[in-house]
Amino acid sequence: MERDLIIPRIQKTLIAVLGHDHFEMRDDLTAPDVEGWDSLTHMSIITGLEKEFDVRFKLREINKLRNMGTLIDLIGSKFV
Amino acid sequence: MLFLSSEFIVFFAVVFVLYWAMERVSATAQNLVLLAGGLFFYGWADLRFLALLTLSAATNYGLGLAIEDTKSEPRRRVWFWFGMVFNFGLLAYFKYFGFFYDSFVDLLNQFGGHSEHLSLKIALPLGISFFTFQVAGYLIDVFNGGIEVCRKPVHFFTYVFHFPKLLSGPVERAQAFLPRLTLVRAFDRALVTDGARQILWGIFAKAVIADNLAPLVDRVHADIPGSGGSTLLLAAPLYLIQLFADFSGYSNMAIGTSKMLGIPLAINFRGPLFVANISEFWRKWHISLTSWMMDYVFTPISFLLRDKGRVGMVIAIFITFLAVGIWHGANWTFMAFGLVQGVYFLPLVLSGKVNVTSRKDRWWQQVPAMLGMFVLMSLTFVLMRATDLSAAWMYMQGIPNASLFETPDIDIWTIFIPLFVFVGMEWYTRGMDHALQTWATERHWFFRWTSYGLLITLILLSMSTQEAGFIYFQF
Amino acid sequence: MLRFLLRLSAFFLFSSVVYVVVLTFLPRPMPYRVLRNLNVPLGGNGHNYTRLQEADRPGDPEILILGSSSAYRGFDPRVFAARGYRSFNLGSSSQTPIQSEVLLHRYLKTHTPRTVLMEVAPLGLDLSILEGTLDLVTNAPVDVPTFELVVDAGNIRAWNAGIHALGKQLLWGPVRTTEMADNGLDRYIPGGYVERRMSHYSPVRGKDEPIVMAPEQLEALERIKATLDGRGIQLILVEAPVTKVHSSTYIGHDRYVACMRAIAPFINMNGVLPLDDSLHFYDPFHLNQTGVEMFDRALLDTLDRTGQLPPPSLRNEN
Repeated sequence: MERDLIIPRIQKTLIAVLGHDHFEMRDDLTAPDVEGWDSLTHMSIITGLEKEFDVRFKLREINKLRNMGTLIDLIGSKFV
Repeated sequence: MLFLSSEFIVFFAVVFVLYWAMERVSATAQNLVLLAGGLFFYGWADLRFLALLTLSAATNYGLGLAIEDTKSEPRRRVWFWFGMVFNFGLLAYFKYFGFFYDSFVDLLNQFGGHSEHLSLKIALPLGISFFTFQVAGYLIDVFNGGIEVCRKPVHFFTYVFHFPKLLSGPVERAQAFLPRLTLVRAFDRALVTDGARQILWGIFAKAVIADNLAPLVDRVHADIPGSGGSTLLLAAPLYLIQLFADFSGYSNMAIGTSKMLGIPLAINFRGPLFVANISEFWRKWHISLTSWMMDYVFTPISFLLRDKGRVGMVIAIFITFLAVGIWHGANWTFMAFGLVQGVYFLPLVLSGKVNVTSRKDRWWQQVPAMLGMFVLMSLTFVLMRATDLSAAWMYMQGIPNASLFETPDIDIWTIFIPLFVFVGMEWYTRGMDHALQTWATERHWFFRWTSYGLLITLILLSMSTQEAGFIYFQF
Repeated sequence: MLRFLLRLSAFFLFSSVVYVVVLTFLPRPMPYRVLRNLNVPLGGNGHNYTRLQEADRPGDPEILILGSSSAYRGFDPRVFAARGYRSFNLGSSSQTPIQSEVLLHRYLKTHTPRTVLMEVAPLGLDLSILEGTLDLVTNAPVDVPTFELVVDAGNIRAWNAGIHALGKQLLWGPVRTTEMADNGLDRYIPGGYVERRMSHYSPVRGKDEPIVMAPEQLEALERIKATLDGRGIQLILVEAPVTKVHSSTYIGHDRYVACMRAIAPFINMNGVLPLDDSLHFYDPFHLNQTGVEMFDRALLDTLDRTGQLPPPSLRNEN
């Protein structure tokens, strides 16, 4: 799947879980930059993304996530 | 060697000068100074266990390499689980064995047994809880690919034996610490000065606030049945402030000391006395431990249970906070403390509010919630202080009582001025890394130095003159 | 790094100035213990200010009394006067030989007693010199020997009180205050004595306590002895009476007696009089007025008997 198609759908999920859109979808965006994105909400976001894209992540894949860029790449890799 | 001792001042002065003299030599030379300092520091504190910690560090170094370099997945798992059992087994042996043995004996005796409690107490190696969590976190990260394995033994040992954090944290992550060792640390006056300021604030919190509150709180807990309701009610928040001042004071000294060596450590507290809900409290209280628990306990469990919806979330939270409780030591009060925290999270999880951003209210609109949380946490932390569950229960029962309207029998006046300064500054700087981080930094040097001088004077006029250990050394 | 260390040193110097300035301008006395390490017992317990003021005035007592509260609450100059002796009581709260030495030297500059009676309490010879030092540094002009006491105490409270007193003295001259001669509980009697309102003690036995004799205290006693010998003044050490419940807690009393005897003539007045713990004391360590009068008469009798007293000056005038 193209990055351009993935990004808006991630954004949609984030807004649904966090309840706001005060963030920019940059590649170097990290969780601490986004209000409300902490360890507790992280898992809700992951579950939300799994539903949105109908994919399953592995724990190790999640542990390797560093920023928005790596998240987009991870989701992209599921559709190769 | 406590931070607040003449031995430590001499020791640190020597390390400081040697370390920065090595700036011109190499990063390795700087690391070796740190490592030698760490070994000396731990040996001074507890020579018996220096060998144990060294052996454990060596084992973990080897395990990291084994996990990384083993190609076969099942074998990697074997190495990994061996590491987990090794580290937590060691911790459990020293910290929990006596407790489980005695509890087992109690259980047997309930059914008519006649067994004796374990009379031989196992000596606890200083800092083993902090040590274990750091190396275990490292192995988990190596296993999950969250961090590159550390191949340089000097780096790994310097990380483990970094003396500012060795005895009582913060729980420093390897991925934050190890990269700092690869390059020469250049003398950064801003960082070093900030470290010195942080130490100053830590000394104030520890020597003045915590050590002066301790005898007041101790007296009440020594005689719960004889204390009136108002005394118990006042002693509860005083203990919360004491514990906060003690541990954040310690952390500030540790982090400040490390900053003076050019290595900032993880932040441990960020205004936890002023929070509007429970999840905010745990994002601001003992951050390095909570975030460890979140990453290595909550995340995997909630990941496994992610299809169970809110039930999964609740289970994951309960297990996580039970672990936080047990981490503090082998006592039913700590487990009860953890469980109660889990209960506090229920409304947030069940209403789905955990996911919603914290309100954008003005600070004064949050004050009622903050006050409520402060009272709630004060009463909850009675569990951390009480000797056992029945004492905690007696404490709670003693509050709603006619004596609630008497004048509390706590002599607070000798500590009132410093307490006011402490809580006021903590409130004023509640978003900062520490209270003096940006204090007057852009003002004229005369104003700045005078304010620090006044703080030092207040310390000299109000510090407790009895020697006192740090509460968190025992955890 | 060097520049940082220089700046740090400059900062500590600057902070010391702030510390001294703040202490100098803090009120004296401070309102109820709001700063726990600034104990300024100004005219507090024991009328020390009044006593030290009186000590500076001219006079010609032949007997000087030194020691702790057992001295200024136990040696009544009126009883001494009845026997014809002019005496002055220079005792002060928790005074130990180290502090007695400082006071003695100051006193000898203007006075020439013939005999010094020094009360030496068995438990007053260890190194807890803080309380006595605070009392002195607060109620007397600060001079070099007094400040040395502050340094010797090596305690932040002593430093705070010392700097506080010194700063004020430099700016506004020596300490001045008005001490009520009779505060309802205690009454100051000219001659350095403090009389407690009549009360009695209900005896409670405390924990056993070993008698600690710090070498520094014994050395101070030796120096006092040498000073007095040099001036032809006789020194007599006295163990004053305390309650039986208290003296029964002493461990190592024999060694203490031997030690005192080795330094100077020593009179043990404890346990030799028919004193009752409740009738003649108001607390474990202090005689009430009835007890004091019995003790002082007995002490003078003993001194008379052994010919250790100079001829009384007042009796001649009668």
